[in-house]
Amino acid sequence: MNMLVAQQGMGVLQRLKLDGWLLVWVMLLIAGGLAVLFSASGGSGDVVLFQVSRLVIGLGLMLVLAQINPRFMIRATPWAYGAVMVLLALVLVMGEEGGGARRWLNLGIRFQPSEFAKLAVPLMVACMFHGSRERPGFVKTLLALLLIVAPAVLVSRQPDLGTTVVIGCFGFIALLLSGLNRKFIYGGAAVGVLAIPALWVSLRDYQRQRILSVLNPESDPLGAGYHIIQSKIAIGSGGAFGKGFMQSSQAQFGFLPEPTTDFIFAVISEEFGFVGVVVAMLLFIAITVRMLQIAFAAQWRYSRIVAASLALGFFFSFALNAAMTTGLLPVVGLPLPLVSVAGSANVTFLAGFGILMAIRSDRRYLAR
Amino acid sequence: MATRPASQHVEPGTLVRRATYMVFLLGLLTCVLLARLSYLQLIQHGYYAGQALGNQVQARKVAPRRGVILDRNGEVIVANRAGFRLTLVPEQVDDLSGTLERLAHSGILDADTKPELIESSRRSQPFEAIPIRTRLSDELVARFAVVRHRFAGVDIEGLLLREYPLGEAGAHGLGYVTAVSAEDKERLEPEEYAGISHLGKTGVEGSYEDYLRGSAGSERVVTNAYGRPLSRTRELEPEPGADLLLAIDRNLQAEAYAAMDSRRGAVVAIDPRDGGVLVLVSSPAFDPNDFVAGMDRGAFAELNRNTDRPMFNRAVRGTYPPGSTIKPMLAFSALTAGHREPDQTVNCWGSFRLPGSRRVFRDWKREGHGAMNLHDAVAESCDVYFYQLARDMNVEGLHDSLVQFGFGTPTGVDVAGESAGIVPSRAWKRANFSDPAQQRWFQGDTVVAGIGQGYLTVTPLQLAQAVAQLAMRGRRYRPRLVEAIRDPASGSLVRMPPVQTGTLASEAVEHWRTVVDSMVGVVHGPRGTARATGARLDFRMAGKTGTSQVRAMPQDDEEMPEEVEERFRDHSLFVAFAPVHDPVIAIAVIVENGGSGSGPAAEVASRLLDTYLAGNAPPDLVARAQ
Repeated sequence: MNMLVAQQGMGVLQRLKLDGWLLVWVMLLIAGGLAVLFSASGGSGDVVLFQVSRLVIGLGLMLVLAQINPRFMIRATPWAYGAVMVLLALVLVMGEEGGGARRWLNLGIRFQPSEFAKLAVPLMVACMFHGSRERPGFVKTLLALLLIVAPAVLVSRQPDLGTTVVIGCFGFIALLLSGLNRKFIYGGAAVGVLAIPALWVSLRDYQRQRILSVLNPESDPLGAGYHIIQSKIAIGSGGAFGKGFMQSSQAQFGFLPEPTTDFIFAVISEEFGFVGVVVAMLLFIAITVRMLQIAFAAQWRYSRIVAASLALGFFFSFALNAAMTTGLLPVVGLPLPLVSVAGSANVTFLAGFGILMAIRSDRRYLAR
Repeated sequence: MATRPASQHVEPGTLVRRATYMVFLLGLLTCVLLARLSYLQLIQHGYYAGQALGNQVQARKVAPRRGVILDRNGEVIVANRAGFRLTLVPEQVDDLSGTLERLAHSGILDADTKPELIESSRRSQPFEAIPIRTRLSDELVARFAVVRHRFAGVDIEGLLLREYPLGEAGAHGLGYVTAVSAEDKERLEPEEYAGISHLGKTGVEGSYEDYLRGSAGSERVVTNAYGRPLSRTRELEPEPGADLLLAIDRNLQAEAYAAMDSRRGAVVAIDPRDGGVLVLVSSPAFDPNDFVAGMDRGAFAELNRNTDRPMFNRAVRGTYPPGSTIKPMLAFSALTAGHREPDQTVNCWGSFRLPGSRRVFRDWKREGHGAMNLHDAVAESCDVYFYQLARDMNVEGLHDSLVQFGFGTPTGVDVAGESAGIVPSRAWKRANFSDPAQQRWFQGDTVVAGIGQGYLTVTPLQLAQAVAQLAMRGRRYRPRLVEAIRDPASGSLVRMPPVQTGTLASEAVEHWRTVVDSMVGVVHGPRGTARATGARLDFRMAGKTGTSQVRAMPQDDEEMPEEVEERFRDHSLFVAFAPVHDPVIAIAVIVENGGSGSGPAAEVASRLLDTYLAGNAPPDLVARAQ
């Protein structure tokens, strides 16, 4: 009987071209995330409802993308990339301001185009290197770099340092996976190290202060260091088993800044303790592992590059947020994937899973 | 590992290999994260748990209830009223200046106070709530409640505020409290004022500050990040301050101030039997209630600029030539020292001249009083009699007499800032003048002192004390406002015994009778200077008028503005006690530039005695009046 139900279930998933394991881990993460969000928002149904509405859009997009054949995807990639570039340019021209930055575009629905670039950039790189089995030469590498840097520069003008870094990372992961020549890797690394001073100079004052406050948050406990200190207090006071659901004093009483967005990881740590954080981590690892499985099993070069880039990029996004929240990295404002209130980011991650599922269906089709 | 082909082709294994490297890197990052989390959550848990608790729990001081002040009949004359104030915790406000600006814009704060508030926030203890506006009206409380969410770190706090129902009438006797100022904080120990919002400054509030204040309690308050209290746990109950019971009669005090009718001057009334101060009025005055809420600079400057000097406590600090009011005291000394017999007469022709001198000392009555004995000299206030007497007593005799009645030294009343007045002597003149020509004591100095002019000055309080001593036939008690202190813990009253500070020839019953009779003659005699007042009375009192010269009127005929001219008019003084035989009240009234002592001062004094005796008269007196 149970077997029958399970088989029927598998049948439905297959028909919808959804990947069972990926779906299970993602839904578990979403469910847990909504619970944490409910607590972090102080029991606000409105916040949770908003999050659910964005997640439903994301899941719908995932379902649609899962149906698309990767061969069509390759052809659509340049167009999608172009569209994202146009949107990013539009943000700078007619974006909505908030908190000293221009990040949102309001075309009937309010969203952050910079998030879509996280998807468009690795897709574009994969598209470039799909056709040839040659190791990319200097010119082609330079062109690929340009395709990564162009949207990153546009995002950095908003300004949005965190997303700029993440877009760059997604692009470089794709570039490395495309078989980038080692000479370029080492050369690039050297240039990167040398570029740090130049980068430092180009940062805004508040961004520099954020970075310095990681080194010594106590130097300015009520200013730039406040976020990090309060976040560490939240995490540390959670202990091994946490204070319990809805018991985060740091978030409930307003000491922890941005508890529903950038610092929601601290809320998990405070309410569910070390055990809870490890469980959350395991969910992120499980999703990543499943994505890598799909990547490695894919037969197509494009599919492999895209799937592996998205898998590594997804985990990298999680790790960056966790590192910032625990005070290992400067706070630049990145969401915890699928948990933070960050509509555009969550829709983008879910869309990525849709692409992964499309790739998986395609592999099967080709393999058999 | 697989060997890499020499060709520049990308092998299918490349992606897997490179992805694996990256997974290793991410795995490493994950390990660092786990290490970090174990460090924070497992090793440092205790520290951060404490920090989280410290975030929410703050030790706060709980203000004690300041002791209330009651009058002699148990009526409240200084009360505590529940009120609200606006406080701000600087650490919880992002932009202090902007926040204050927005509060001012919302009409909740006075924009002028901004610099001061920024200064006091700089001096505040960490996470201490500083008051930014005391005494919020109900309307302001409601207005703030609407916009409260926009002002993190700003909150409304309930507290007990001082209230002075007597208003201006009680200002100089009772004093006032003001919010603890920056200077106060430097002067006091932090524990002394912790949790205390106001300090007593002058009057009884000032001199009994240590009794009234009480001591602060403490509580643990759980707050959120915006400082809003979520729960409280009392750790130490505050100790309320002691209540004070005054000798002041609330109604009489109010009536005295009303009777002064904003004229400059002072009224002091004393219960001669124990020195209890029944009335201590300095007019004009200020409203002490304004100081509780904190006065804006403009109003304060206005108070200090006012030429009538409402902040000046004339009753204990003001020094005036006593004029003829000291004649009964001098008369008594003359009798006891043998300078005069009661029936010995002096002829008064309207002026007096020292032998060998051309200087003429005029009597107030130009045509003269004729033959004067001691009784008539006091009753009719004959100046010539006392010019002559002063000359006979000499400066030493005058000085001794006046000192015996308490002039020249502070009375020791329990209100700060008392003046000593001046009882001049040869030594005093030597010490206080630099010009050798002026250091000499002249006979003329002695003569004018005989009618309470010249260098002699007294405070209204000293005058009332001396009259009380006359009333008590020689016994003098230290004047005091506070008669008893109520212990806040047990509720029991601790009465303070009266302090006798002088006894003057109580055995000279005859002399006392002569002097007192002469004072009765002032009011009730056929030619008494206050006979007009006496005619209106339905009780008998002993009194003495005084008209003291301010200074020589400029002699040139230049027209003076009326306002200036008014300030050159004589001071009107009147002293009295009643009932004549078992006196219960002695009073001194000064109306600056009020003209003759038989005028405004006598009117104020008789009105107050009338009121007081109506409520406190011995039965036989009431019977006589009916």
